[in-house]
Amino acid sequence: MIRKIVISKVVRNRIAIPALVLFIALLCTTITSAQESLYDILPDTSCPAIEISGEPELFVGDDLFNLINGGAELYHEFGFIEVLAAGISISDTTTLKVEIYDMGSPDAAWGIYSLTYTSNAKPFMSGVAGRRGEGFAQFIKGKYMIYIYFDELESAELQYVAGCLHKKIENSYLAPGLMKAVQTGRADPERAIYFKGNLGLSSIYSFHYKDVFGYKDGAAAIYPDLKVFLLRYNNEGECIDKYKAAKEFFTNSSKYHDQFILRGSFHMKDRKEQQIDCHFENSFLIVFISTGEPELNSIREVIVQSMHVSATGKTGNR
Amino acid sequence: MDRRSFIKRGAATGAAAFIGTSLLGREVMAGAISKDADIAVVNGTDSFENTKKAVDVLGGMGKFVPKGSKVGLLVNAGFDQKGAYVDPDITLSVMKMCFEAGADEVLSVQYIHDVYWERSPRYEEMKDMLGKLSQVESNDFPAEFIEEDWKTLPGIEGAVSLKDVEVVKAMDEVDVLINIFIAKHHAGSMYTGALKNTMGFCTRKTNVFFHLGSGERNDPDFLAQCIADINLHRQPDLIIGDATEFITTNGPAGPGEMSKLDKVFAGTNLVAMDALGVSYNDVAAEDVPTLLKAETAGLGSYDLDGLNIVEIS
Repeated sequence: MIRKIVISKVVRNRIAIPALVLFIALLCTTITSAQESLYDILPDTSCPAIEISGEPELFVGDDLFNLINGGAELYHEFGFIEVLAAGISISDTTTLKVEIYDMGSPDAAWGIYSLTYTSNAKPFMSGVAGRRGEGFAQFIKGKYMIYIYFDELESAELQYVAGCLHKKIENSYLAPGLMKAVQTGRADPERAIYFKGNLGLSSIYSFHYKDVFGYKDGAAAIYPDLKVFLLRYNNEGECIDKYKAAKEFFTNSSKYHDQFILRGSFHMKDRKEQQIDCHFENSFLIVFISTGEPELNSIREVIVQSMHVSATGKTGNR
Repeated sequence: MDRRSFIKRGAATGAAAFIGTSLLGREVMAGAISKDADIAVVNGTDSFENTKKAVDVLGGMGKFVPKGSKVGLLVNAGFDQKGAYVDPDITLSVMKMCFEAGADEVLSVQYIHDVYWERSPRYEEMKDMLGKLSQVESNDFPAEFIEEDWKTLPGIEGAVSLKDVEVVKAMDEVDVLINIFIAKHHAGSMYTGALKNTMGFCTRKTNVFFHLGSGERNDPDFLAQCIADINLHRQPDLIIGDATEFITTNGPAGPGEMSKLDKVFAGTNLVAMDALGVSYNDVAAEDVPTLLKAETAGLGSYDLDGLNIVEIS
């Protein structure tokens, strides 16, 4: 019996191992062809007015702490891979600095882009998810976020540089489905944000310095009188467990007051007298933080409906 | 010997500051200086003048800076977004008071770039004074250890998590140490203030250890413990807090939602000053891990009830 099993394993391995090697080889080939090297994204001879000045510098993983002063962990929370920093000059007259971040996934690129929002930055290039602020511009494409830093730059020059970088990245992706769903209940939020982990959430609203909700990922829509959070879990069971733990934590927290519990929801006020309502919905939690008395039931119903439609495949994320 | 940069610039000095007489707040002062104040809070839009008022309530800069002394400043100045760095007028006011008190030397233990000073409307009139400021140039992001300016502390008495700490030598070489911080949001530790500002004494390598040293990413308890530990080494003689305009979300770098309270506050205890700074962020002290660890370490109490907090305008 033992021998038979051994032989069987050997036979299986003779087939399985080469197949596995072939599969990995094919996978690697696919990944290699679909994924640009960060160096390949830098402008080349197809953009003759641009030259790379100096040696580009690559920061991999935790080396990011040597590039970003404050906030590097936020990038890591999204799954940051590496960043290439390079100096470039335009027509030998204008010097810029470019940083190309590989965030690991298009969702992560959308997330860090949404969290690094600057209110006074404005779109600078049609058809591109990008903005220009004082001394910088940034845009995302695929799994990459690109910063361009400058002292002074004509709009046409910026568009030329950004265009040269943009065209080197193959695929564009729409915003994460969760980021869309959280906005469905009420139109035109001031901001929509996608996040992972407690640093992202705490950048918007600090429930607690520890990760009390323990979600997989989340999205927020910000309005003048209301913040809407949509927290996603791997499955309904995990969501129930985390919901119960959060309910227990917050209803006993001295940071909040006027707590009460209803079937499928708990409610409380924070020290700013903002009303906080947390609702359990399948594998999601919907959390509202409001001032005044916005109509929340209809917002929640629309969001739930949009998530149901998304979950049943009637609409896609992208 | 520290490498210093001497910023040589021309132009005039500013006008003298004065003690305000408009009185509001926790303790009414009849124009007199309350030498018993634990913390002074000054309300108003002129942060340069209000910084002097706050120090005067504590007894004046002469109480902290003896003639001929060497003064070290630790300023949270290394960010670009308004609300993420200390209002430069507050720092300029402190420098001016130090020189007027007879300081022989004023040294910024972290390198401060010109762009920081240029944000002040008083920049032109303060150029002469800025020319006298010395700086530890190598303590500039990302600070790396060099023998000339840095040393390794193998351990700190009472420290729980921190060891082999790389700190700037100037931290121990100055006669007087002044911590100038901004009371702002931090996503990892809820709040950045005086205690966390002390990370400015350390190399990048040590600061990365604060964040990752526990082996777990984003471990706020470990970060808070390291911050408490480094503060056990040397505590400042004077602390100045900026709550004029600061970010309440997306810290430490911002941009984020802004709160404008127009308050400058001064005191001598790190934990008490941060407890007050935390309250300006509508956060309770007991929700901030740094304060919990610091109190446990014996650095002070975050209970403000027993303190004499003098608030004026």
